[in-house]
Amino acid sequence: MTQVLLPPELVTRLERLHLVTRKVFHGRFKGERRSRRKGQSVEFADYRDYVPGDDLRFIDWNGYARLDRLYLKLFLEEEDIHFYVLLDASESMNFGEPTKLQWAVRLAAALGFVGLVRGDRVSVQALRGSSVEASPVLRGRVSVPRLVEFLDQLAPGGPTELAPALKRFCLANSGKGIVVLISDLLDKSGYQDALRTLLAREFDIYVVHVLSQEELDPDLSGDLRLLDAEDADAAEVTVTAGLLRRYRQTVENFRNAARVFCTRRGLAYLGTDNTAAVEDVVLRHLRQRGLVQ
Amino acid sequence: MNLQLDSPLSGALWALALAVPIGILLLYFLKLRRREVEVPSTYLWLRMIEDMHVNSLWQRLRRNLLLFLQLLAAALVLLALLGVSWRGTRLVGERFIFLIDVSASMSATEQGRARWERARQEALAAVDQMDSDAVAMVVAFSDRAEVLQSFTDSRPALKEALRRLQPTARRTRLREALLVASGLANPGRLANDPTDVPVPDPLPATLVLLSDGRFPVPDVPLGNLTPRFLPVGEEKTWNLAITALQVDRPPGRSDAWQAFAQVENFGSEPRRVLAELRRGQVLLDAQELEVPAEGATSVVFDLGQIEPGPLELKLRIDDALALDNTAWAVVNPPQRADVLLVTPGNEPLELALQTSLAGELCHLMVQSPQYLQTPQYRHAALAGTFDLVIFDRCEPPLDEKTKRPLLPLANTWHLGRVPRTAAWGFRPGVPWPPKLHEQPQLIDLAAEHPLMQLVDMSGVDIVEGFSVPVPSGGHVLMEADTGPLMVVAPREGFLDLVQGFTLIDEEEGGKVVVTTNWPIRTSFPVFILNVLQVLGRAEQMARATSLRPGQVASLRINTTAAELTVVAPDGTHYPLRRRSGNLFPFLQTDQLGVYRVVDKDRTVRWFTVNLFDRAESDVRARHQVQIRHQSVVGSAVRQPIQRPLWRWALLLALGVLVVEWITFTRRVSF
Repeated sequence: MTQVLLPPELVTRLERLHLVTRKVFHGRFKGERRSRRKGQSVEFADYRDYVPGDDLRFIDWNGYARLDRLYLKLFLEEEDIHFYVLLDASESMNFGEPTKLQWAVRLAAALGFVGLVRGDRVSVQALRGSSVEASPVLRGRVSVPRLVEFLDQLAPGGPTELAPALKRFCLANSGKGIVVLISDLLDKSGYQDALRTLLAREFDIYVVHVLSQEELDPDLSGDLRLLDAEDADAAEVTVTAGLLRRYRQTVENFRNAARVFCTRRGLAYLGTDNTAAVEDVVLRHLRQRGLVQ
Repeated sequence: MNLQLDSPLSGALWALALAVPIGILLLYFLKLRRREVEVPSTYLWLRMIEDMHVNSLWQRLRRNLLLFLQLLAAALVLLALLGVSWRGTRLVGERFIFLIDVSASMSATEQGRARWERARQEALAAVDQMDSDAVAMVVAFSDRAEVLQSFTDSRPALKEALRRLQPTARRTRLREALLVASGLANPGRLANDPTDVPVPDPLPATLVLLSDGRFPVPDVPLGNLTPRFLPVGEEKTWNLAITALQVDRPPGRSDAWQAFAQVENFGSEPRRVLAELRRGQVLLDAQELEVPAEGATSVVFDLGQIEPGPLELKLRIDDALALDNTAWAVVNPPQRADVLLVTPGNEPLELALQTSLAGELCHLMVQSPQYLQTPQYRHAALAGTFDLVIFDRCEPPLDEKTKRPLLPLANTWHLGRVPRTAAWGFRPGVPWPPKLHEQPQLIDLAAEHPLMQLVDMSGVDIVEGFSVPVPSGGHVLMEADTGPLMVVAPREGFLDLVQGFTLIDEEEGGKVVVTTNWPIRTSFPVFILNVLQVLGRAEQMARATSLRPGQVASLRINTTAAELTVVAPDGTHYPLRRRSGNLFPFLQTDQLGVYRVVDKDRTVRWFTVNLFDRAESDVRARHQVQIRHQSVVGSAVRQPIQRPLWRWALLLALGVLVVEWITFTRRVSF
């Protein structure tokens, strides 16, 4: 399964990447990431006056020799980062070829791999209905098999209820970090409240909006009774060319509205579909949006 | 147009038929077993159709084109079953000749519309309803026929010809139009119109006559023509008309004028009308007239001494025909007459003709009797150069061809001779000249005759004279105990005055003998002036002739100009060219009113064109006309037809079904 989720050629290319955040967070362990805190790294940051109690190892003795004053050299601290991948595992994600969930799992594996190999703390959380199925917090390259194992066993089910699920996630994860939400956003009660919940925290949020080809350009015609896979809600329509045209326009409007919503609030938005190559998404689109470097 | 229903279905069958669309609706709702398709989420679909409630009846109907098409097809089939047919009119036939009356009476207005316009409208409607392969021609007629459009199947051309139709003030003579029409329909008969094309085979045609029926019965065989008469106008339309207007000298007065008019009432009720006589803008006189039903009233306006010029008489009434409510008459400027005196020598007569007063009336030319033998006389006689020719003791020469006396185209005065014509009693073998009587005693004078106005013959002695024969229509002016001594008689529009005695005579040896003492009496120059005024045409010229519309005006004007100008009532200038002698014929007399003849900016003559036609003024339309021996009753030219529409409805239903099928298979959007 590892082979399927993370093919060797992809792994090779992912190993060169590392996660980047537009915000600098406190990590719990020393990692490979600059921190706002000044600390023990090799990168010089600033000087400040010595006050009693400071670590004598950081006094700039050369400066003292020239100026006869004690200055402390400050270095940037390098920290690890919390990286959360929120996977929408509702029933609606179980459509398309490959299914949106399968696609989302691959993307989560790739991003998680990048985080793990760079020493970040990675957690994948599957949103199913209002519940959240969270993987253990993983760290280090050694955790890659566990990540894959968790992702592998994910099965779709339940309705999409982003708002309660994300609220639950926020309550359980008070820390800061990068959140990548992979979802189709097909929440009948709306995705806006859910994203607002995330915004309340200081997460660096990326929304990957994935829709299947069947949703973007449905191959339907005639008098149909459309059954919702999640809640068995039915819609009776007579599909005509005109109706399809209008549907496509609606989908387009839906995606535009999501993008506008995210952009205005500082969320990075990526609209894609289940046929896009994961490698391409990671190496190109997410790199453009600054998630990986 | 109206629709008619003629359904072949009974009531029960109709109930069944009406159940079809209801069945379609029911089947439509029953048949909707939608295919179930599982989609990730109905979220987007619901968003799209959030403005429409899919389950509502209206949405189902609105969204389903197929249902509509099926219902439409069913409705069309039901319409076909109703047996709907269109009922209209159509012109039945292949060849038509539209004869449209444009005579004066067609200008009569009824209900705010002139008859000729109604006729044109009817013809336009008939052209519209002609079969596509039918041909027609358009002829406008009054007292002449004008082919506005020869046979064609082009409706625009026919309509254009009808739009060119213009009313005239002419009389109605159907004969001309029938000759043109029958010449086209009946081979071997000549039509008068140059645009007429020879027809090799008999081609029957329908003659559509649009007229008010006021015309004399034409004696033209119709042959292949089938007449149809479409009466235009109403039978009870009344009209008042001026049927005569004349300006003349009152009896016994040569210094004054009076206008005489006749107003007729063509209606069943008496009418009162105000008649106004104007000269230009100046009102000369006005009289209120009571015109009895179906009768006439005369009115006389005393004008006194008036300057030459046109007069206008107008009836202040709003009747059907306006053309005959105005009439014109003219007092023309005095004009000198051209007088030729042929005499071996007559001093008293020449003196009397050369007085200053006579000089104002005439231009005298004196010739000897030898002049009568010259070609100049012959030319002048035939050209009508003179107004009056006086033959004093001589006779007109004999025409070599006819062996009759060559009397000039002028009035004549014969002194002591009688023309050798049959009218004057000349017969081969009869003693000629008539026998002379010595000292005839005058016993009577025709004092009322213009020639004898103010002539007092008392004390006049006559040595000898002969009894003058009285021709048919002749008038004895002087009666003696021996018989008529002076007679005036008409000759083809001229007057011949024959005096049975001479004024002087010559004995053998050339000695002049006075044969009467008349020349030394005051009555003689008075009589000479009467002769110059009456026979010199001074009177006739002063009273302008009134012409009918379209009549040729034969104007006799003494002028040296080769071309004059006629100013028509509407201000149009027409050149007036000399034909021969002093004769100027003028043809463009279609307008009613006063025409002015101008010679270098100077008006030399007026003449008038008046309707003065009882037949045209009587505008009560006839709904039955007679053409030769055939009586034609007015009827609708277009015949009612019934065109079933059910075939079209069925075809349309079929078309709708095809569209429905295409929609079903292709799912086209709507």
